[in-house]
Amino acid sequence: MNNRFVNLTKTFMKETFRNKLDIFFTMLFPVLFIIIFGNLFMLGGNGEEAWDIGIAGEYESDIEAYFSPHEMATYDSEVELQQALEDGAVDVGVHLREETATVYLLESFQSMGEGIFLQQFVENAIRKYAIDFEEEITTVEDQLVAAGDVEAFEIDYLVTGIMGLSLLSGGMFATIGVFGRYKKQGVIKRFMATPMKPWEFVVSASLTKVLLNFLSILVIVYLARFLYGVTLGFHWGIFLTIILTSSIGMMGFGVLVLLVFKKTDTALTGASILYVIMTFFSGVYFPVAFIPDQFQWVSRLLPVTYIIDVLRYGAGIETMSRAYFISLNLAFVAIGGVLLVFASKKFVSVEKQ
Amino acid sequence: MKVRSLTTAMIKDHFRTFEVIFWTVLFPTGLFILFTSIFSQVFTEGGVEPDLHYGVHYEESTYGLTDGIFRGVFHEMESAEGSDFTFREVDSREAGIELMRDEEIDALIEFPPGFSEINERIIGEDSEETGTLQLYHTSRSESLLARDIFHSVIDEANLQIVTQGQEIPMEFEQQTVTEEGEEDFRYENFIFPAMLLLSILTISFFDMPLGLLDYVERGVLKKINASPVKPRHYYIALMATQFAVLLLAMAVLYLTSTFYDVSARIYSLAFIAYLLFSSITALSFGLLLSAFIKKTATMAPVSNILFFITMFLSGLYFEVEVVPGFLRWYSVINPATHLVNGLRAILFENPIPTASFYIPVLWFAGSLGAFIINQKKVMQSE
Amino acid sequence: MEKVIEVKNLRKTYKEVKAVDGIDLEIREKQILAILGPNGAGKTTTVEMLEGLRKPTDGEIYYFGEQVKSVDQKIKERIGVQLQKTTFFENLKVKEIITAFGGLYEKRLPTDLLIEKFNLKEKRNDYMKNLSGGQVQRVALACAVVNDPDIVFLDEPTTGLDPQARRNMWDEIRRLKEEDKTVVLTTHYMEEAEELADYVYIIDHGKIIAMGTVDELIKSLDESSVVSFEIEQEDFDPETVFKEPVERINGKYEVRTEDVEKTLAKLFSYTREQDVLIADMNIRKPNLEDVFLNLTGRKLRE
Repeated sequence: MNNRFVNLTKTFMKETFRNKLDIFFTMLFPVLFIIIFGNLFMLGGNGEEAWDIGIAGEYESDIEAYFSPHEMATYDSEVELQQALEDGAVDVGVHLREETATVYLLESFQSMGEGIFLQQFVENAIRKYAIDFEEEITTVEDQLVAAGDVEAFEIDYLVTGIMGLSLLSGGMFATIGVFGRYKKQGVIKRFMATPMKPWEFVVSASLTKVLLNFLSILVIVYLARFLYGVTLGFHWGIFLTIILTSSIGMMGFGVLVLLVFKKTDTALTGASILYVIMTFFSGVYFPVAFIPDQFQWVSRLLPVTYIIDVLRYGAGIETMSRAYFISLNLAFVAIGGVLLVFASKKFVSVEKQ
Repeated sequence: MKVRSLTTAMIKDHFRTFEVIFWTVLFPTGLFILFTSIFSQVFTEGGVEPDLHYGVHYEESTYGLTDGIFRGVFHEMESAEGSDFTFREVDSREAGIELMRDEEIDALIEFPPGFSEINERIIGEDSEETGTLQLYHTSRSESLLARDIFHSVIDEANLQIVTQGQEIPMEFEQQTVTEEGEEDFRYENFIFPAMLLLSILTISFFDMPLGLLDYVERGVLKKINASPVKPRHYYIALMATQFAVLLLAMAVLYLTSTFYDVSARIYSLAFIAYLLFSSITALSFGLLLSAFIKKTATMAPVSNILFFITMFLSGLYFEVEVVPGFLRWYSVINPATHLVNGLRAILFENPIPTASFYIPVLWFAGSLGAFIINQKKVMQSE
Repeated sequence: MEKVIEVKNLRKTYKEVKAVDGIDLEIREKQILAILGPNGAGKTTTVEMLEGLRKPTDGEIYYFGEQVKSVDQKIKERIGVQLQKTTFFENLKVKEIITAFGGLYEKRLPTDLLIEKFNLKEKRNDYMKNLSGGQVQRVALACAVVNDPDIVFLDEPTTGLDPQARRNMWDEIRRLKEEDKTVVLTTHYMEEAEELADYVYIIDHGKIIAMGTVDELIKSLDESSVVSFEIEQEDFDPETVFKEPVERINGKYEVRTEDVEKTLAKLFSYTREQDVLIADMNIRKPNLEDVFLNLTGRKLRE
């Protein structure tokens, strides 16, 4: 193999892996998200957790049966009940009088979404109690279906989402650094004065970033397994393919950002804005369905959405036709590759103008 | 005169730096608009109106009252105001599951054979028949939501069937409780203080320490030291500059808040006083960083790491209860947590927790102390 | 001595700006050739075209007797470059940087040898971001010669260095010549060209305005000395005292003269008559600064 290429790759490896900021954002940042959001999602499970229902006032003991399968806790007064709610001892409180019931809900960021279900469940339970409701005429039995090859839980969707975002940031910021920052600092120019060929520079820099991305994904996968028992069934071949193609695709996206914003500092700012937008519109932390209708289409425009789709397919938790999977990967490589070639001609070349 | 001249120069320098204006002013405002647009609807009446699609499979056709009731339920869901629910019939379970996998439907409802035998019970006859619907769903968020909504609907339907539409002698009153008060929770009021604090933290973690180091490394401070300007003049000018940028950031946020119906208590003396207190104490963190870190190459990663960790572990975007136990200590010792709690307490008309005073004050004293002790080293003077 | 580089009618135009406007150069082997000129004269643009970092708008470049359309890998194997602005990867150590650059060439010198040679032993394990300006320049120079090149381009190698560091760098540059290398040096420091150069091209506004050895260029002035003085008389009119042209520079008067004694006599005679004092006086030989001033009417570092 070309010694020059090998040496250049080694140089980039050292430079990249010693760059604290790069390492933090590529590897530790996703870890932070896994820990915080994983905890949040695990608290929610698949939405099958038991609620704690607090009750005070005038009622018979058989009311407890109507709250099943959730837990009931009794309180002597409305004040105590409210206190219990504020303290987080119960998820909802009911103060019952003869023909009126006051339902107390703690409205906070955490209880958003499930608040409405809590309220409806409790009100229906009390109605049933009021009429001595005996048995449901209709029941619903849930059947979890695997969207892909294996059954998955919300946490699996979160983890693959975080993997996608990590590939996005790893690729995008990498090229801005390599082509923007190094160009601005004159590092590229110095290398250009040697026999090094532009493709050697671009490929060795890209390979390093792909490796960093790969390591960050491994960290995410093993941390999720360690903390939350998440086991994503990746086939190694598909796994490596996705990381390689997505990294190239996102590096190409970074080149695009640099071309649009021209100056490195502005490109970094622009990339950060795009990263925040993609984080929120990718459906990783909350469903796209929650986003106002007029903005939902944004989600389908974002490259990260497709990366997450292929990751979920690769992990077996989502389904996708093989042809579509191959097309997406080819698209990442093709578009990213073309943009990287363009970048090498524009940034790693003799100045014409 | 010297201070004014120096401050004017520094303010011009700052306001002409795009990154300063973007991260301190525009970014928090943009986030406020984005978050409020997405999350505030959850807390409005009616809540989220998600776009959900159901498939319906009849293993055996329903008939009689069963048919009428359930078709009526589906029709009511579809035509409810603001609703985006759709129901479509599918030929088989497999076809329905395939549609679900392809994300064309979010959940599949299956009526098993003999389901309509509950007709007798519906009309009040002595029967113990129970009809069990099968609900197929995936673990996608939309599918889980569709499942939960359908459970609620069936629960409601059961009651309707049993009471045969008659009124149930029970009236309900809803009361929302937030922390210790009874103020209605509004997401705008939850996130607005966070965005104010985000502006402050941007200055204290980035602008101030990195700006200070930049001036040292570029020799600007040396130049100032060689002039009749005393160090205290420089610090006054520095703080005045940071406050000027912060004032702009807050003005923009306040202006934006008028379009989002944030509580008028943001104009109250208490809120503004506490905001000033937050600004002074939080800005001192920048001095703390400067006291110990002497190079931009070290400061940049440290600032970034601390900033992002603080952002996510201080209850800015979501309450600290979500933070896992083993990380909770950071939220507790971190003054940003208490500052945002203090601001929110005022907005929600709750008493300000004492920790929202003494913890930031402790940090302020510590930061200032460290800076004063290390001042000469910071300024790299002989 | 053989010509290693020859340049004919080299031009570089950016929109309407002629950065290099028809330059002819001959660079001979084992020489230190200085391209001297003020900031913005076109020095860096010229050498960067020779280094293959910029594409000429017009002109011909010859390396080792052969015309080159572009400076290719073969030529780059034989040249070494130190750019005007030296930046390397911040997170690499000194020895790693030198090794990294060595790895880009087919022929390379051992890293330890270069570290020893450029007095970087104590800094070998330090990160680039922790080095002083002079140390960075030494590393840059080590990288410029890592491939044991035939020709070394040094673009303003001592800008920003303190006097001692500058002198140390001069010693390194002289050593390169002793090793039979050809050095092409750009500078705006007159003393640097005088100290080091075997041959000088003076460049201004993209054109060569003079060339020759230092002695030849100074002799071209047709002057032997410069008498400079400060006089404590506000309305002093030098034309009433001296026939030679007199410049007023930074409060001092400079008289270019072939006969120092006669000039001094006239000056002292005047001061005695007028009963005025001379605050400061200096007699020096003309230098390249004077050459440039004579050619352009401006100082090298205005």
